[in-house]
Amino acid sequence: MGGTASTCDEMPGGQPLGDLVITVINDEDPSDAMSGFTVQIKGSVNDSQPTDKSGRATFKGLPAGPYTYTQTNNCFVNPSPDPSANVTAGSTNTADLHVHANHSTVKIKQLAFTGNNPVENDTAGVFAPPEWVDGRAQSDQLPVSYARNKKIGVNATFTVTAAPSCTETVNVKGTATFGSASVELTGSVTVNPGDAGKDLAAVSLTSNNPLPNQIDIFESTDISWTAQVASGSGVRNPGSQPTVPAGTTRNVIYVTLGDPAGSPNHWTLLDISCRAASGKDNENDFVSASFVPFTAHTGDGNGFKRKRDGKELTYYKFGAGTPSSGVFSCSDLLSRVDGTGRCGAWANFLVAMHQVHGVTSSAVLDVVPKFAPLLIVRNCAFNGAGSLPAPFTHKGQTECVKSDGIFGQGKNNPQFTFGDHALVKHPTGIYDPSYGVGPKPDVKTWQVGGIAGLGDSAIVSFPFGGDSHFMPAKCSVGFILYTAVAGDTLDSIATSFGVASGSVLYNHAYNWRLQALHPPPGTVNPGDMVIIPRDIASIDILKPNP
Amino acid sequence: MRRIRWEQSVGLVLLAVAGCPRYAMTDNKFDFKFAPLAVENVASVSSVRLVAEGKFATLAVMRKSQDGLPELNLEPISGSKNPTRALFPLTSPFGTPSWDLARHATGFAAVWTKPGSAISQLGYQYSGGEELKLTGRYPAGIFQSPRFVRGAAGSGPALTAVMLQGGSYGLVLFPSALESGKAVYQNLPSIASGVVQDGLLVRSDSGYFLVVRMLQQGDRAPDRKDARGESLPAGVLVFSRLNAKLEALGPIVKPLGDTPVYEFDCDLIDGGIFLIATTQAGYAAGRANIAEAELKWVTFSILTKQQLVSPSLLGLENRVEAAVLDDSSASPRVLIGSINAH
Repeated sequence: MGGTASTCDEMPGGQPLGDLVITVINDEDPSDAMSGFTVQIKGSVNDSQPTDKSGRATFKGLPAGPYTYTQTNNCFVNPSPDPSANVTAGSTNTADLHVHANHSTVKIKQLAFTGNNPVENDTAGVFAPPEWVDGRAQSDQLPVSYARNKKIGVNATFTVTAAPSCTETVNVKGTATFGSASVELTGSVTVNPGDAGKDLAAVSLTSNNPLPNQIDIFESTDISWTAQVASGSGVRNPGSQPTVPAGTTRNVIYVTLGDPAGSPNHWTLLDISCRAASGKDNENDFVSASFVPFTAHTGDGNGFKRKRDGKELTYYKFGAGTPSSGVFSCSDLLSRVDGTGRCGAWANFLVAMHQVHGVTSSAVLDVVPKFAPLLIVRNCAFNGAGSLPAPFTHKGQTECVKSDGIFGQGKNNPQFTFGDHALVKHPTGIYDPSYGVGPKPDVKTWQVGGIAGLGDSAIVSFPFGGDSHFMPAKCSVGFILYTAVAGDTLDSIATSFGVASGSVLYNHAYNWRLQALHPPPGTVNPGDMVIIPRDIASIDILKPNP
Repeated sequence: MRRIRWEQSVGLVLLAVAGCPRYAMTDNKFDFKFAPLAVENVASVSSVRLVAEGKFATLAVMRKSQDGLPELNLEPISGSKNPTRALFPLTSPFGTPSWDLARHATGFAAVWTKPGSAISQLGYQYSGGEELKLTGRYPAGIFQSPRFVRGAAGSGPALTAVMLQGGSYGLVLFPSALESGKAVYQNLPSIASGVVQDGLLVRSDSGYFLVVRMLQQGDRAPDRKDARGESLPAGVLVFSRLNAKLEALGPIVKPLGDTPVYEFDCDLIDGGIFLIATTQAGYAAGRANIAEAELKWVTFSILTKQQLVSPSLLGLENRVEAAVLDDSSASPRVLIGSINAH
């Protein structure tokens, strides 16, 4: 654009002359006075002049005629083709030169989290960063785990979607709200001309605030990324640079009670426990809350689903045909194709679940009968008095008959006769993850609801619930043996074991040997073996397997 | 230098069955010339092991059992005139045992698993003796995959097992006192990260070699079942030399690369360590000269159309005997073969 004003200049020899004033205008900010630029004109005279503090370059005494003009600052883009102005003799002609700078735009390309506890893919190996990659299906973005109250860190890689005219510094920021915590991850990247389409070097960012100080799981929380050009030779007024979106990222973030201690950070363990104990911030509440799902996933088809492949996790899925190797540990449960395990595997599974939260005060407690080779888990019906000599009075599966029992993890009727059984002991109580029972204050209380009886070592096999099972050939409702010492009486022994009276104890069928030894009304001598039957006493028929 | 030979062949077993000239390899030192062995009631065979009796090999055969008392029988092979004999049952009422057999001063010694619900103890018995609880010192212990130490004779039988310790599996060695009921284990070095599946220790005059099968990481090859019906997850073999103190000397190598394997066996003979492992599509075999400071494995992978399980190797004088079960059909077959060790 231009105009004219009257002048009296002319060249020696009488050729009429005119002036040309070119104003450089920053299209990004027309109020910006573009001083310090150099404007070149080409026409019958070629010349260059600096702009003054108002952004004007003045060319005096030009022969009349057309002139093209540009400015020389490479950080600013001239119009194309070069604009032109016509100089009229005797006039001050004016023209505008509209320029702009090309600025960077970037987009988040990938995130590799830092300061986190890498998640292990259920024995298939630790997930390798980057945990988030642009273009990867959301379901394939990798899970991330942090201990509560920790700051999120990332090595963020950005792709340049538009390159600047000149090197620029771009501020990048990720913002997200994780529960009660609003976090920002801020940093800057340098973008050079020619970077278009390129991935920039990863920038290390750390959140300003920590994650909430409690267990949690964030499955649908986005980190929204923005970018703002901050500085560069082509940046005249940083404050006027817009903040532009640079993409969003989403990872499932598990927040644990503490850093893992003693177990790999298995994905399935994180998922079950963080989901169940969301909001908990202390060990006891966490242990109690994280066990609740174990009580809800028993029975056919209800088992936990392994995160790695969706396989249902089960307890003794195949009854007596359940494998006998590779079924004893948490890693077995997570690695086996069939997803089944024995009680040791489930006990280890629960202990490992505690350990991924840094809880190390729980331990596997293996229990065995005190005075019998086998224990029988409920339910079995002891019909009649039984036809066998006490204390194993009932024939397996004819007089002691299996019925639907306590469901196991993902299995209606798992195996129910064992030489031992693995529980988990924690200060909050006794847990039986195999059957989803607990917490109980002690083993004795647990066995009241869990144990049908005891058995001798020989077994009988039979089909039940579609599987082959076995149970003791000789069964008992349970008992312990007591050897009388000096000073004992039948009443004192009865009292110590919660039996109603000495006569009740003496007259119980299990004490037929004592009855034969000491005719009614009966007595005991030191060294006599007294059987304390479970059906009339308050006794603990199990003991820890040392 | 490692050589791999892939043969898109059905010849291995088809020719072996027919008794015709068998599968030919360029390097005939690895042609085991497998052929079926006539074994009575072969359909009941669930696993096999080769053991030496003098200069002959004998095949120990475990049969499937419904009563928790699978029996071990001894089948003479390679010219032995010994009769077929029953050894002793491997009592394991709560599950099918994994087991191993070795020579013993009284004849043979066997070790096997006796799984309970949460535990897995090891039973031990030798010819003429009573059954012992080898792991009696550790009544709540979980021991799996017991294997007798192979190679040079030591002061007596020793064996390894996979033991669950603190939630992780590791290899342990019972070096002595197997018959005392008070045997004490010592940990073997961990030579790879991941989940230990099984392992084997081979003793030489100057030290040991440890072969461990680790659970395959990442996308795993499909599991398979052995002839007992037990699942066999795919694993990868790792190998290390150990010194006399059982410390890893390195380097840690994968003799078969990342080839997924299911079971393996190896033995030492005349300065060579030999290896056989079942793979997804057949088997792989390898050997290395233990005199080399850094062992170089020469390996071959052989494709078959059969599912091979329970591989067993036995170094015997200057031969390497091999046995394997072809479990491809309802009627498994015992295949045996041998190669010259030199």
